[in-house]
Amino acid sequence: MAFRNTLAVAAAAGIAATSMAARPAHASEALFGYLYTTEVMPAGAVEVEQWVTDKIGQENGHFNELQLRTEIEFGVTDRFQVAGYLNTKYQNETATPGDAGLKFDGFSFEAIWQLMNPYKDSFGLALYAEPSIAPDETEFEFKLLAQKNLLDGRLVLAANAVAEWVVEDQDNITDPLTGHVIAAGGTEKISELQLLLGASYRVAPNWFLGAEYRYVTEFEGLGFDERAESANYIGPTVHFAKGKWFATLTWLTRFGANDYGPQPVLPPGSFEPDVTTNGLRLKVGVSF
Amino acid sequence: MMGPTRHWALLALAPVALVETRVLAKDYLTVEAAQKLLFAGADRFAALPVKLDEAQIARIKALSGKVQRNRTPAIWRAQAGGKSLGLVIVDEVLGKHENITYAVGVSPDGKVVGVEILSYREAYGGQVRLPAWRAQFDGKTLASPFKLDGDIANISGATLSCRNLTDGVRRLLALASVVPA
Repeated sequence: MAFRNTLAVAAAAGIAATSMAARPAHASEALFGYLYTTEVMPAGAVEVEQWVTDKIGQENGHFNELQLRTEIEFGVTDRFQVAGYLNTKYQNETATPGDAGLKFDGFSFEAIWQLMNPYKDSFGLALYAEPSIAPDETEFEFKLLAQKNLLDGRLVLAANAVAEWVVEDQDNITDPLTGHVIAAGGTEKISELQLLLGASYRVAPNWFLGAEYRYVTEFEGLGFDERAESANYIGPTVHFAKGKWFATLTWLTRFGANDYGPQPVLPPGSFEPDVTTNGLRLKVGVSF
Repeated sequence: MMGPTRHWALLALAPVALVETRVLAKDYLTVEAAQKLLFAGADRFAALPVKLDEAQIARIKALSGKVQRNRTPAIWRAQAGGKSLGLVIVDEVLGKHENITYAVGVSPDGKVVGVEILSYREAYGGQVRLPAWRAQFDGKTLASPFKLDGDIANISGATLSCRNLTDGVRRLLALASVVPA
């Protein structure tokens, strides 16, 4: 046994020594659009991702908001990675003229700590934290990520439990026809819980095909005080990866939405960007 | 018609589209070359047609813990002067994006003679081709742990390739034990 371990250590040392030129750097590529898996990048690896999320449709009319996130990920250790996001958004339908067009939507910082590796342990487990600061919003997200690989990695199952806290500065809401204030602005505090489940199967080399489910429930107050609304989303996801590149496309459509308690006052024809009926997310990434 | 939103969608992809990359797709060894590397003293490699039945598949699973999916595996018997030196088995396992083609030499007493990588098509993790990594399997038997980060060193960034190759070598040892002597 001692000899075997010595061999393994010697092999590891040899591999490390001879692979300095070919730095180990594998993408923690996104297999899903909305879920995270527990894979992280090795130390020193860098990946750039571009997210495009199209939030489409609302019950009270046509709505379209494009969220753009440009992300740079960095592997600090083989089990810990950090990332920074530049967030922008583009709205082409809104009741508030000042909200139309491309707008800066803040910065986010992300850290993922892998507790268990899905390829070495019986399942993968990771902790995720993401604070965000936008011009009118401060947000913190915490996630527990789990992953189980089956059939030699052909089938990947993932689950995320998410808690989110948002403090948002709101302007007065005015009726666009009369100009009267119909709801006073202020600071709104929201908390949110999400459960996401996903499965993706490798249908051919380079290609994964799967489905994602997302349950969201939102509360008034930061302490999950008063439940305001909930919704379910489900849809297909497709993932392609070759070499250092990957692309993932996911479509989610809403079902079983519920409102609880008094609803927020909205001027005629206006929208709540967080309550869209459909979502389309494209992620494209390249690693170095 | 493409609306302004769609234009922005294309623009949004520009940061990643600007980054240069290269895709590796490498075939390193032919089957014949791998056979010679595994059994240099052989003067003949006789194809061994095998069609695994349910009992053999179940036995392989019991011995290795892994499912043998290919029921007609590619096996050759290495011979020298009519005497069997062992088996060469060529197989594929899943890499991160592509399949990895590899060959394992198995001695008549069920030990790994060597592991050769015929094709490795991933952009990362090519270190599995290094002699130091492959040499970890030499002499292993079905009684060996085959534990990643235990008796087999993992390569950061290529864990799936290491995992599946390690499992694959163990599975081929089990396969070699169920084919006719």
